Amino acid sequence: MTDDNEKVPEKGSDELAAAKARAKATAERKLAESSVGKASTDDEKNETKTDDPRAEEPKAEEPKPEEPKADEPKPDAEPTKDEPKKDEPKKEEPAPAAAKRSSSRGKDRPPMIVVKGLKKSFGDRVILKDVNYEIERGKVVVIMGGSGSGKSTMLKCLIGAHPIDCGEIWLDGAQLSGPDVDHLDSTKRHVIWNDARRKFGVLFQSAALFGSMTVGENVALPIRFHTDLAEETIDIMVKMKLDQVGLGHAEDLLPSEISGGMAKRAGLARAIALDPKVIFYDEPSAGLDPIVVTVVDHLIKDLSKALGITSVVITHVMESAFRIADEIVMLYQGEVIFRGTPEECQASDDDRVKQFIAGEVPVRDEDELPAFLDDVL
Amino acid sequence: MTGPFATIGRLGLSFFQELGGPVILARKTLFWVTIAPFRKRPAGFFNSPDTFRQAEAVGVKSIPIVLLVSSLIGTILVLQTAYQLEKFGQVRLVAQGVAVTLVRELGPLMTAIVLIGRVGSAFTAELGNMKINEEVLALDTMAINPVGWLVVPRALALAVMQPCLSIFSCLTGIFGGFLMGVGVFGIPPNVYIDQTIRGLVLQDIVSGLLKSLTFAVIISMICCYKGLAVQGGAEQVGEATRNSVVASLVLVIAADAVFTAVINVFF
Repeated sequence: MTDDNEKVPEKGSDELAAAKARAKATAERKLAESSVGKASTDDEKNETKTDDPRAEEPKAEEPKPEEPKADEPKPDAEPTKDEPKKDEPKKEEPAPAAAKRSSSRGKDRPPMIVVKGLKKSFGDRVILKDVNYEIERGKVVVIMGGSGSGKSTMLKCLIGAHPIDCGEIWLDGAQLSGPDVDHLDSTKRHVIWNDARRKFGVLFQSAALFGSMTVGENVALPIRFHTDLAEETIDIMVKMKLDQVGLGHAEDLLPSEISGGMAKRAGLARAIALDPKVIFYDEPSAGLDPIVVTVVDHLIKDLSKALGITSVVITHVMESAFRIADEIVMLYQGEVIFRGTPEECQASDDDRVKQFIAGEVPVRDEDELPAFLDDVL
Repeated sequence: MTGPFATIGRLGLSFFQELGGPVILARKTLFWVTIAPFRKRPAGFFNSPDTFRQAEAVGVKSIPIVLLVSSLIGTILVLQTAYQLEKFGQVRLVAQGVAVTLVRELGPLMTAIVLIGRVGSAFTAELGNMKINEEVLALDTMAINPVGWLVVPRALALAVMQPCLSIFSCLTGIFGGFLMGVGVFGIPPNVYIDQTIRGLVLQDIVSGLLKSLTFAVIISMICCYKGLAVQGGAEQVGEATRNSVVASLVLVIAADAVFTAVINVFF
């Protein structure tokens, strides 16, 4: 995992250093233009094409430079000659701007998940009408909505369990569903999805642990399957993962011998077994008592902070959502009706959002009332 | 649309739709058995300790019931055949008839019927439960192919163990018949053994084993497919199990009829 920004020359805000950087960048650009002709390689072109789903609208989505933080680790490497062209536009900027951008590392990388114009229906029943949103890296995003709002279908679409009718799904800069992928044959699509599946983990509502395996074997399964590590190493990794979720003592227990909360945590340990970039949580609070819900919530938040994992949580439990969310996406009848921080959600003027938060039964128009009520009212 | 032709068309269509799923599953299983093991990361059957666990559940644990049923079938066969042959004074020929019937027909068939009830139904119920508990989806999301991980061990276990069980079944059936023929009908033991060996040819044994293998493929594909196709809850798992047993029985007997006809005509 390399970050282009790490290679931007960092000379602080010193004017002299900035001038030097500008001069060096100009010289390198001239050299590159004269010797290479077509400056960028095919690889770079592909990278540009696939890595940023928002490339069509660069101005609108251009991230604003942020003030550099004092404790931000400074990239120490000078640009190598192997990659002069990649860094070129950044070098042309004034050094303070480059410094600011490099300090907000990862900000101009594409969002972790992008959903564009997603539509999904089962027969005549339209579940998702036109869903658009982006999920930034390292954030905890809660997708909320009442029963039948399409949030579970949304999750199934995101993990590739349901093919989508139209739209695009991007994960970590690669298109998983959409025009670039749809024309490929099923084997290639399968390969694309399987590559993506190694980048994400899923915690299912029922935890979906394999009943014939112990908790430790469940966690070891993806590691054993996708790596060539020695058994001793796998054992150590399994212990580490179980310790991370507080289940170090339960390695040899069968799923039938542990409680619901422990099963959820074991499922989470399995989901993080391959150090994914994203974890999808399907109703992590379902069937748990309030104390265990709080424990699981803290676990989600801690994992996100400690490992920098992007978390997508599907839930309808408001307290839980407000506790963990960096951002809330609210679905209503297959459409996104709200997207913002928990505070913005609580302050929202949208009646549907307010009703959902308050748990009120929506008031129907008089026209919609059943005929037999006419005599009563 | 109504009318006899529409009904026949609908029935035919649903038959082929029902058959299509197991056929596609068989193609995928064949891929995982033959091609996937030679890839960089086979991720197929031999990565799974399940193959041996299934082989034990399918084969070793089925031996008592298969032996019991087969010995009873052997004795019944001798009783029924000897009753007829006694009229012609040819009781000693009963050994040939029983041996050929068991090796060519009843051994593989009875084993298949026992395994459908004991193993096929378990395949469907187990996979169906895994499906509704999202375990199959969990495999998918871990980029582990459910066919390679779940179906291949079961199919391989059945394909290896069913012919073995058929051999046990035939031997036990012949032994049961021997006890009945010698003990009740007074056939000398050496005559009974001689008649049994004389009655059998290699073709009978080979065709019996091939039948067993065919039945194993049919049972594993139908039952695994029905399990993986479950949608809903516990009720649907029960329904799928029932359907898989019925479909397997019908298809095994139909395949037996076709197989026997082909062998009789061409060999």
